[in-house]
Amino acid sequence: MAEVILEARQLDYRYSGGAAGLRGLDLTVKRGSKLAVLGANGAGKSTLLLHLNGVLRPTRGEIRLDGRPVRYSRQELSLWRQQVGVVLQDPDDQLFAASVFQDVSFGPLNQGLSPPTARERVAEVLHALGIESLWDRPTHSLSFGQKKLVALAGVLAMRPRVLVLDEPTAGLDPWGAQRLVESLELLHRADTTLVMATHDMDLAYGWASEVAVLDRGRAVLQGAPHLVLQDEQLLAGAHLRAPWTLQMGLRLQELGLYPAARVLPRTPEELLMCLKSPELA
Amino acid sequence: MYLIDTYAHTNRWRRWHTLEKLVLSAGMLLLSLILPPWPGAALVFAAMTLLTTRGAGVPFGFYARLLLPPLGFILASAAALAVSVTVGPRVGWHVSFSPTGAAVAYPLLLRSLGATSSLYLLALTTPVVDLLSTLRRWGLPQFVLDLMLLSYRFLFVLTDTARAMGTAQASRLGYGDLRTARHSLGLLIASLIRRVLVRANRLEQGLAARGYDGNLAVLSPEQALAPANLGRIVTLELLVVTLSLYLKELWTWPR
Repeated sequence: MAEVILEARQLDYRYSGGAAGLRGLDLTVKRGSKLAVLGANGAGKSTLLLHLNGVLRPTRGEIRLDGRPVRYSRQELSLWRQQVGVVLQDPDDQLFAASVFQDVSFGPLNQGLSPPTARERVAEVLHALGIESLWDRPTHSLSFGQKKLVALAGVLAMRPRVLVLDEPTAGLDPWGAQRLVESLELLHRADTTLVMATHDMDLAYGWASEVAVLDRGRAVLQGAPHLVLQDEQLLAGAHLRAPWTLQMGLRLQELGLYPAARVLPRTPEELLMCLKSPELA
Repeated sequence: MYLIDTYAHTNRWRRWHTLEKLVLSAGMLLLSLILPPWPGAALVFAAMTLLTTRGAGVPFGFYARLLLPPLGFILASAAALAVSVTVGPRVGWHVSFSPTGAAVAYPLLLRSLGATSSLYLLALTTPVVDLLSTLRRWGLPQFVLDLMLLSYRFLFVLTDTARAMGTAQASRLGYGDLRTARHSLGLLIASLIRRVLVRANRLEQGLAARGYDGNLAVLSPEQALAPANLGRIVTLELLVVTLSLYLKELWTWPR
C-alpha cells in the first residue's frame, strides 16, 4: 500500500453566496501517483483543487499533508504551498509579471531563494519545458499555449512534491497537449505526485494511475481507472462517459478479438497496436 | 499601445543599459526646457527623432503617427496664443494674428516637441520591465512598483477582454446604429468592471498559490553599463548645448 501524501477528509465548502461547492468530499492522493479528478462542469473540481494548497479554506472538514491536518496560519500555509503547487486553468489568472523570466522567478523568490539561485531555477525550468527561447518575452505577447506552459513553469520552479493542475490541456492544440503530457511524465519519473482535474475522459484513462469521479461536490468513487471508468451508470450520473479506448477494448473482448485475461489497452496507440498484431499486444 | 510595447522590446537599443537611455532621455528633456527654444529645443527634437528612427530603428512612419496626437494639442494651444479674436459692438468679429502672442507660442511649440521626442525615445526603446527594475534599484517604495507592474499587465488583459467583448457584440449587431451602439458600450463597460473584480480575485488566488505574501518579488534583468556609451551620450548633449548657443548668436528669430 503506497504512502498517502495528501488527503481531504469530509470537506464542506460554501461559496459566499451560500451555494454549496463541496459536500462531504473525501480524496486520497498517494505518493508518486497520477490522480485524475474527473467531473462535469460545476462538479467542484476547481474548488477542490484550490483547497489542496490552502487557497480556499473548507467550511468543515480538513486537509492532511503527510498524515497531519494542516493549519491555516501564515507560516504553515507558506510551508504547505512550497510542497503543493497549483496551476490554474486560465493562465491569465496566474501570470502577473511583465516578462516570462520575471513571472517564473516569483515563486522561487517567495521561497526565500537568493536571486542567483532563483535565476538558475528559472533557466532550468524553462529548459525542461522547452521554452527557454521565451525567457524575456513580454507575458502579454504569448500565445495561449505558451502562456499555459509559462504558468506551469512558474509553479514547477518551486519544485513542489505534489503538482496540482486544473484542466492543463484545455485549449491546447493536440501537439501542445501531447507535449504537456510528456512533461508530466518526466515529472512523474522524478517522483513528483501529480493531480489533474479534467473532463477529457480519454486523456485521463491514458494517463492516470488512479481516478476520482466528482459529482455535485462529492467524490462518488476513487480507484483504478479501468475499474471506475467501466461503471457506466456512475459516469452517466456524473454527466461523464466512458473513455472511447476502454469502450472499444471491452467490445473487442466481447467479440473475442482480444484475450479476456489481458490488460485492456489504455491509449488509442495501444489499441491500434493490438489490432495490428493481436498476438503481440 | 501594443506597438509601442513591441518596439520597446524589439528595437536595436533593447540591450542597452537602462541608465544610459535614461541619461539620454532625461538629459535631452532638461535641455529642451532650459536651452533657448530656437535653436536649442529644435536641435533636441531633430537629434531625438534621428536617434529613435535611425539609431534604434523605430520606423519613421510609426514615429510620425505617434507624434500626431501631442502635436495636435501643441498646435491648438499655440494657435490660441498666436491668434487673437476680438468681439466688439463696432467691429463685430475680428480675428487677427498677434505678433506678441506668436512670440510666446513658438518657444512653447519647440519646447513641447523637444520634450515629447525625448520621452518618446525612452518609451520606444525601453521595456517597462527594465524601467521598473531601475526604479526599484533607486529605492522607489515596493507598493508603488507593484501597482505600476499590475497596471501595466492588466492594461493588456483588459484591452484584450474589451476587444473580444466588443467583437462579440458587433457580431450580434450591437453597433448597428447610434442608439444601440451607446447601449452596447454601456453594457460592455459594466461587464468589464465586473470582470475586473473577478479577475483580480482569481489573480490573488493564483499568486497565493505561489506563496504571495504582499510583495511581488521578481528577478531584475541583467544589464551591463557601457561607459563608452555613456560618454557618447554626454558628448552629444554637450554638443547640442554648444551648437545651440553658437547658432543663437548667428541666427535669431525675426521679430
